[in-house]
Amino acid sequence: MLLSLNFRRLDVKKSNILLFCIIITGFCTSALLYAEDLRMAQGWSVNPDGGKHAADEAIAMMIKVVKNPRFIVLYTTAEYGEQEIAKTLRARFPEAKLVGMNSYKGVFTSDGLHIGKRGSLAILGFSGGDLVFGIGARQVPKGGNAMAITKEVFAEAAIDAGKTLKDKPSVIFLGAMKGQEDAIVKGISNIFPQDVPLVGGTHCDNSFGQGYVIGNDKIYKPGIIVALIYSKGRIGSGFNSGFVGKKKSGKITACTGRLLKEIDGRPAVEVYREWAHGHFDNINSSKKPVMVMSSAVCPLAKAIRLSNGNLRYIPVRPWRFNPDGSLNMGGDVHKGDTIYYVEGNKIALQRKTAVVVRKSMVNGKIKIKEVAGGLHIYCAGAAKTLGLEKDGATAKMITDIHKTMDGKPFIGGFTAGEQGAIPGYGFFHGNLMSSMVVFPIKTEDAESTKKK
Amino acid sequence: MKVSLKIRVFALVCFLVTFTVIALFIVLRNDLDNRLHEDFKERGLIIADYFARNSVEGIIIEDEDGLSKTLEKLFEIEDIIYAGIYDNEGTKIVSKETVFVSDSLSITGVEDSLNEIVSRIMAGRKNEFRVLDFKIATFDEEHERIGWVRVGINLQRITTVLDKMMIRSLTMLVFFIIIALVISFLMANSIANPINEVAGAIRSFGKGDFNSTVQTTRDDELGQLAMGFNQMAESLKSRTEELQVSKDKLIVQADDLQEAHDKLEVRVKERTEELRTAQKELVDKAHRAGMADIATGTLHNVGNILNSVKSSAQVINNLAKNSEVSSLKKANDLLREHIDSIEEFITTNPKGKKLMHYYLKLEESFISENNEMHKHLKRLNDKVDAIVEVIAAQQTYAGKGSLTEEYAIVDIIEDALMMQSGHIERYGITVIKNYNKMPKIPLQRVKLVHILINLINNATEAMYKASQEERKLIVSVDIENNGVYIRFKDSGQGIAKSNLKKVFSQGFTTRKNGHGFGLHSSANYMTEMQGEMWAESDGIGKGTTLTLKFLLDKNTVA
Repeated sequence: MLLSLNFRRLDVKKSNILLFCIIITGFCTSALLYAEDLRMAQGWSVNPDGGKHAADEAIAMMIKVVKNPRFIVLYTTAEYGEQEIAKTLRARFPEAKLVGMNSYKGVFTSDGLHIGKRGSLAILGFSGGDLVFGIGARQVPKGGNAMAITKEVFAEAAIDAGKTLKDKPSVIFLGAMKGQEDAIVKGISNIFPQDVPLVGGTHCDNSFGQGYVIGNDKIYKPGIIVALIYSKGRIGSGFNSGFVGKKKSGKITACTGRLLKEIDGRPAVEVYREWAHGHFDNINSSKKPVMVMSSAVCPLAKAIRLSNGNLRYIPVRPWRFNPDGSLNMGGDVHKGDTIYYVEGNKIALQRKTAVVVRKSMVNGKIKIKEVAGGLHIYCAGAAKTLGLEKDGATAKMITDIHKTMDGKPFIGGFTAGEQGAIPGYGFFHGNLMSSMVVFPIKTEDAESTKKK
Repeated sequence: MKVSLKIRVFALVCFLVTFTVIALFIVLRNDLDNRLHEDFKERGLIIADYFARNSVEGIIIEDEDGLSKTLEKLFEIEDIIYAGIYDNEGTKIVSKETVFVSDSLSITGVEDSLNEIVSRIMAGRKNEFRVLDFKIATFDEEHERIGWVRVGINLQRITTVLDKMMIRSLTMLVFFIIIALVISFLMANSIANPINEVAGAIRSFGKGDFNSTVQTTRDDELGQLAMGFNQMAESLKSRTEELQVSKDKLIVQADDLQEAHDKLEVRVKERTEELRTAQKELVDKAHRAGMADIATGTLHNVGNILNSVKSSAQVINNLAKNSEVSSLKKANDLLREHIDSIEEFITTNPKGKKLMHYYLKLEESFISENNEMHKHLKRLNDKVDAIVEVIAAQQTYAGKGSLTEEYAIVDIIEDALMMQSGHIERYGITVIKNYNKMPKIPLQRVKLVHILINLINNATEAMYKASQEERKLIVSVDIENNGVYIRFKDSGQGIAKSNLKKVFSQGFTTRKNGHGFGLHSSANYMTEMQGEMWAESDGIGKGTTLTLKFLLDKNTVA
């Protein structure tokens, strides 16, 4: 209003000069902003006094490096009240776009594993760089069409970023809803047939139950949340399991959704027990269903035949043996598909994460010195198998990530399923996996930088 | 210089052992050197490639710690003396050397090539190294080159292995030479002694001692040689005895053969004489037959001419009978009757007028009669001359010997045709003559005339079935290929091909009244005159050509 009044008082000549100055100032500001390096900072808290205090602590930690983040990612355990966390963060950074999701029992950052008795949270703030963020989220009602909702969520995120779905994002950050991961992944494939790096996890509470997601100042439970990140430069991502095939496989002859009934015409439990060579002999599921945590080191897997002829396994964890010989799986199975038996061990589960981090940097051709930070998702089941003690294998795994990233900030959450992309082969949902995205300090395209 | 077999064998074995061991050593050393070098190269390439692949991620993210660890891991492998990892511009990221090497371990110079594997000598602090130097490019998953690795593999171990091998080989050489000396000595003795025994026995055998043998108990090649010699000596001995017996038999048989030979020679002479006599008789018979033919022809010709003489005489006789001379007497009587009043008679008497006219016409008649008389008298005279000539010709050939002189062939042919002219005329044969210019050639005239008459008669008689127009005898004389060819070609009944040669056989004839001597004797005459004759015919009814060939002397000019 003031500006418009002043304009009325100015003559034409002066107004032209003022307009010119404003344009030049805007241009220079844009150029400065454009040229600014990407800065990322983490913050975390296990404050037992509730979400607000925890959020404040985390913010205090983050703003030491990034005062005004444009984008914030949040991992939090379900103990903290979602509303107070969202309110606290939004109140402190009203301009920042916020995406958040539940993590199983704890979170991890560059500083280590954080398991609070009454809750844990970690935030990662982004500022500078050329990154453009768009957020979309939806509540998924019971029986809702997850695939259709996925499209709505992505469309919303694209619009939020000032883009359309025809624009290819540099990376997709996904908070998937438990039980609907395969439908969501299929929905993403329909939107982006071409390869887009994806780092996604299935949010869950501390008992693997349905969690919640936060999109800016709204809570969705159960829900899907997505952040589309656009950049001119390369962003690295990785998605791996670390399991090795044992040349044991069979055709799925009977199944329903995630219930694997028969392999090669025989009860799935029977075949799986055979393949596991006595690993499950102490489990008696003949009378009642039994949860099987030890399947984390020898799950079943879907596989993709790579162009070099090798198989790339996507583990699908059997998590319950049923008296009827069927297996409850961590992902959808389809009749006629081949299911493989794969093996790993605790060391592999521990080390695979650093490998994924490294792969992410390699895929993005990001030098260690040029890493700004990263976002990580790690399988909650695997973490549970490794142990969530302070000096346990999970903690060592996080130290490995820290070393690999040369101390750069990152946060990670434990999820009940992981989603990622395999370049050239599409998007996948699996279990016992590690998914990672690494951002470079210089987000501008190397070629365009050279031209400048 | 005489060198015994023992020494030769000894020396040969020593030489062979030494040569074999040295040759084997050289071949094996080179082969081993190459193999080891190739093995090192292959192994080095695997190591360098593995190293390069493991460095890819570290190069991309410039993870010096990670690359250093990779490098440390690499040096756990034996023989690696230096290694380095370089970025795409060739700038070193990390490197390590276990020994000092003077060379600059940069990547300069390989920017344009992908990989470089070179075997080179590098100077160390104290000595030189034989090094296999690998420069391998590293690529990311998008196949873009991102940097290099360089690995040096010390080949010193190859030299050590080869040196050890040389020492072992030399030890083996000495050992084998000693063994060879002993073996060769024993072998030389075991070979030379039996041979010497056999040689002694052969010498004795050569001096005539057929009872000399070699005593041996060996069953090897030398034993077989000795036994072979003994068998040979025994065999030779028995063969010599058999040969002596055979020789005696042969002497007796030779005497018998000589006697039989003498007898046979006498019989051959006798038979030859008989054959000569028979041949002479045959020739005489043929000659006589030929002469008879000539005589018959001559008489026939004379007879023919006498017929003409007779007819001419008859004409003259008729002319004389019908002459005007008888009328002249009546006219003269009438004239004498009126001689006194001749003038009146002539002018007034019609008879007188007719008489005068008669006298005037008489001249013409006399002239005509005279001409006719002259004509027939001349013909008569010619025929008498012809008879004389025929008889003279016959006299020319009859009784003449076999004297060879140079004659003009065409003249002789003409004589023969003339002698047989009556025959030719009687058969109504047209003779076509194709004579080329001929030199005189040496021949026996009588024999040639005999031959020609034979041929003319045969030709004329062969054409008796032919029409008058077809009865043609072509006589030609040519010089071809240094020979004179006389050809009588008739259009008569011809000769079957199967009989072309038989016609010259004695007694062969196809005529009812033929005696089969004509062509046989003609062929013999031609042979006697160094000539030859043959018959050609395309078959029955297609005529015959009889050819006589005389060879021309090289000096004869046509």
